Amino acid sequence: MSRDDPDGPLGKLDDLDGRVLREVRWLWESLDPAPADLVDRIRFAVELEDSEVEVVRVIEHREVAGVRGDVHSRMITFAGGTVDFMVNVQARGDGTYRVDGWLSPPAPHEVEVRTPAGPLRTSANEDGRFALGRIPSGFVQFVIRPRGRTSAVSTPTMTL
Amino acid sequence: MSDRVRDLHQRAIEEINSGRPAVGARLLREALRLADRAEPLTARLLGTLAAAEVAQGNTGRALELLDEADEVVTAEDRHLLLSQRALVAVLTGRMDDALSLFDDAILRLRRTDQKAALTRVLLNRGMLHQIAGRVRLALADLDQCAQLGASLGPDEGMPRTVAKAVHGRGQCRVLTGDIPGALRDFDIAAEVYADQGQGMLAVLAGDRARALLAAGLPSEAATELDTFLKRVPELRMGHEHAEAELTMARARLAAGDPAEARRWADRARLHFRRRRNDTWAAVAELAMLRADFAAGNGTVRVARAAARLADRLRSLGLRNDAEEADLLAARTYLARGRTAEARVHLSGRDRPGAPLTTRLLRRLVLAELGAAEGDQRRTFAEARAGLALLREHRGRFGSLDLQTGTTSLGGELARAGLAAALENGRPEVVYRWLERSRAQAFRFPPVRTPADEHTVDAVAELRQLAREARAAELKGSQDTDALRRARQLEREIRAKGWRTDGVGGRSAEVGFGEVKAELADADSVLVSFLVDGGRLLAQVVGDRRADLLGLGGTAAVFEAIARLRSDLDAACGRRLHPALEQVIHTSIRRQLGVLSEHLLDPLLPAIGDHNVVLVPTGALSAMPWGLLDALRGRPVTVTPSPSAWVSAKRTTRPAGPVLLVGGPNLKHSSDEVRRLARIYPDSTVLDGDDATVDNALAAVNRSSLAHFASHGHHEQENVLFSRLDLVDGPLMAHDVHQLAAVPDHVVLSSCDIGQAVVRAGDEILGFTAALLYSGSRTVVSSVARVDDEAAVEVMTAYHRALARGVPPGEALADATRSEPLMPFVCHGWGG
Repeated sequence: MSRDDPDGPLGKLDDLDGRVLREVRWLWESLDPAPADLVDRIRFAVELEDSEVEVVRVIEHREVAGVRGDVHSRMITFAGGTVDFMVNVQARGDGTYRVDGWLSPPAPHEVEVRTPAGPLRTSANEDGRFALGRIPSGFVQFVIRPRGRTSAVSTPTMTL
Repeated sequence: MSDRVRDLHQRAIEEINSGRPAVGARLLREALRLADRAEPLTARLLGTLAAAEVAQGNTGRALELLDEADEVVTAEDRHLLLSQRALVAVLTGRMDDALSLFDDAILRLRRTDQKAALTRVLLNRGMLHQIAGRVRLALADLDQCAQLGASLGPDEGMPRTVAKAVHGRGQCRVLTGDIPGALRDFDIAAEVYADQGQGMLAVLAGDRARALLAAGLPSEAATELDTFLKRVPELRMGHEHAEAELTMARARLAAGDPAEARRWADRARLHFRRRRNDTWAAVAELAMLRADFAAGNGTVRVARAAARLADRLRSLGLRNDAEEADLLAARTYLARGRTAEARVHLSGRDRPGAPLTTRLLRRLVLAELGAAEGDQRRTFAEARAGLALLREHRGRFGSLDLQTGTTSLGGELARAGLAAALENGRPEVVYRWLERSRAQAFRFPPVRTPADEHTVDAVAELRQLAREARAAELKGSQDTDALRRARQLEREIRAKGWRTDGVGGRSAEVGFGEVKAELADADSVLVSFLVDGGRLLAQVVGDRRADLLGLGGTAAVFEAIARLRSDLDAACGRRLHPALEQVIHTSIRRQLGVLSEHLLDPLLPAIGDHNVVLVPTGALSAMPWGLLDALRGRPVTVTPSPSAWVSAKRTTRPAGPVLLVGGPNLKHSSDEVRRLARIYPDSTVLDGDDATVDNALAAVNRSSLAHFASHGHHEQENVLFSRLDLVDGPLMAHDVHQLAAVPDHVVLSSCDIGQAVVRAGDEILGFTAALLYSGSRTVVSSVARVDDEAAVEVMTAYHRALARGVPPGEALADATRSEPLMPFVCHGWGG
């Protein structure tokens, strides 16, 4: 194979290559398109200011068995190294959500809900209980700043 | 050649009538190029083109065209130009000119046999009367138009003219408060428009929104308008667009959002101005001033602006709007304490045929004048008269949905009366105003909407969709298409009910003395809660006493209830991390502590050791009372109003068959039903595959006691579709409203189904409320989640006690004693 073989690995891209690559791009775009909100999501996620953030895992996000109702709220439990917590997200019917939360170990940790419209902040009471009244629908991320620590704990980005 | 011109003219008329004036104008200009100037048709073409220009907002151009047409018109066609000129006058706000032009045209036409033309001009004059607030004259013209048009048969576009007359009749009915009748008229018109005028369907949506607004359903009105506003740009209906914006402003105002209301009103005003429609721009200005006042900006500047606007509206020929502006001026002066100036603007009196809102507003302002001048008697009299008007209005509604929707003026009248009553302080006066200002819908006899074929089909489809959606949900996915279709069906079914007339008549108010006697008989005290500014108050009425007690801050109490209910949901039915469980239980204790302190402790001395009958307000309707330590083991009954409690207490029916139903997808429901079947050996049991909606509805009709152990779901946003899951789909609150008879006593061993949506005036809607309205005396249901397994023990204990003859309140108190977190509440009558 000579160095200037146009079809070899070192050959320059020609029109045919361009066409093939466009076809491949079209193929992937049709078969497995990027989510429409991918860029927004990435932008939203990288804007988090703290560099030292522990991201917690979702350990339970489903309807509970053993009760006589069905989904009208979302209960999500998160577990991490520093704190565990649970939130109950309820639609208010006017496009906003009420969030109730419980933190363990209980202490007046600072709680921030990041939304595209800016952060909403509150603080848990000494028993580890917090609530936020009106969160707009869209992306959210819960960030807990545990008392007495410099690092923060964050959930992955979620959509309300 | 002239055939081609005639064809173009006909097509242009079609386009304009279908809401596409620009297309029509193009066709007409082409026709005018082809037409012979000397032909009589030319005048018609010019006249129609003028109409198309008006529809696009070019009134100046339209007048030029009409002047041009005047020169070539034949005597026979004169009326056409007169009425077209009249239309321009309407749209530029010269109502009196318009009326004499129409009168002239109608006089000329009555001398000829041009019946079709006469029909059309009658329609237009009817609409003019309606805009100017002359409802009776409007109805006379519109009825004559509809009759004449119908006699002419389907030629010459008559069905559409008749439809427009019926449509206009509906608009008049909205003004007189006959909402079901208006909605029926709109339906009739819609059928014709669907065939021959898509554009008019959009206009109809705007009118339907105004009807819903008048019925006190502002968010429903906003939904209709959203659809309309989305369609309007493509239809290019400038005037209708602006009118819809104005209605949107009113809807936002009624929903308590004055800032948003002002934005919409301002937008409408600009659009009307741009179209040189001074009349409607002035009406939009009135909406802006109303929004200013509602936002608390009751300055003298606003008062003066309203007074000036009143004069302008009067000179424009809009009497109703002028009156409203005057009343607003008076109200604003009152808010500044300037009673003398306020009186000046209150000099008028109700005209016969004035719209309900104007009449209510006058009562309200007069009541406020009484309060400002320390004339309590006047405040009571005016507020009472206003509420009586409103009651009469609501009595015309057959659907509970409309009966419970109160106009915001109703709420303000009730507040004015209640404030005066609190100032007066006499227990029976306070009692009477509490009774008068809440749960009025309970005093209307229930009306069952006759189910038409379409609704029956829609309900069947909805049940099927709900079942599919539920199946998807259980598998952890969500069928969004099915959900969307379900929302649409729910809306259709619900809207059908709005068209039903009320049957009139209502049950009497139960007096103070009577209530005290009944309370003594039941060894009970009555606690009625009310919000007074930022604080909660309670009136405690017993056999011998009546106290008005101050409780905690409203916001703190309502927040504690919201937290408690979320805590209960979080604690229920899941295996939790012990540390988190600890946090949740600590919170439950803390909220119960807050609620005891602010809600109950101040009442305890007055309650003594009696049974308790509670009349909640707002968020208190979702309070799990039995969880409070001081009430544990004590019979507690929750009722919408004292009158509702007394009538439930006095109802006695012989015991009859028992129905037990076990719903699907629960581990312990069959067990519960089996155990209860041993307590009631002759009961009908529907479990497993037998627990279908049809079986349940057929059996529930005949039963005096019914027990459902199933999944329950409260729909906050669409309460009539709150439901119990059965094996083939849900049994909905809507189904309950259709039942000819409901059991005396219903136990809903399900989650959440005791919750309600609380409308102004503490009118409640929900599954439990549906049963109570339909005549159930006692409903036991839960205001939060219920643990499947624990429910079995509680319910078995409850029914064992009932079977021994223990009254429901006491039976429930005993049954939940060992399960401290069971959020069941006894509604209606508890013994």
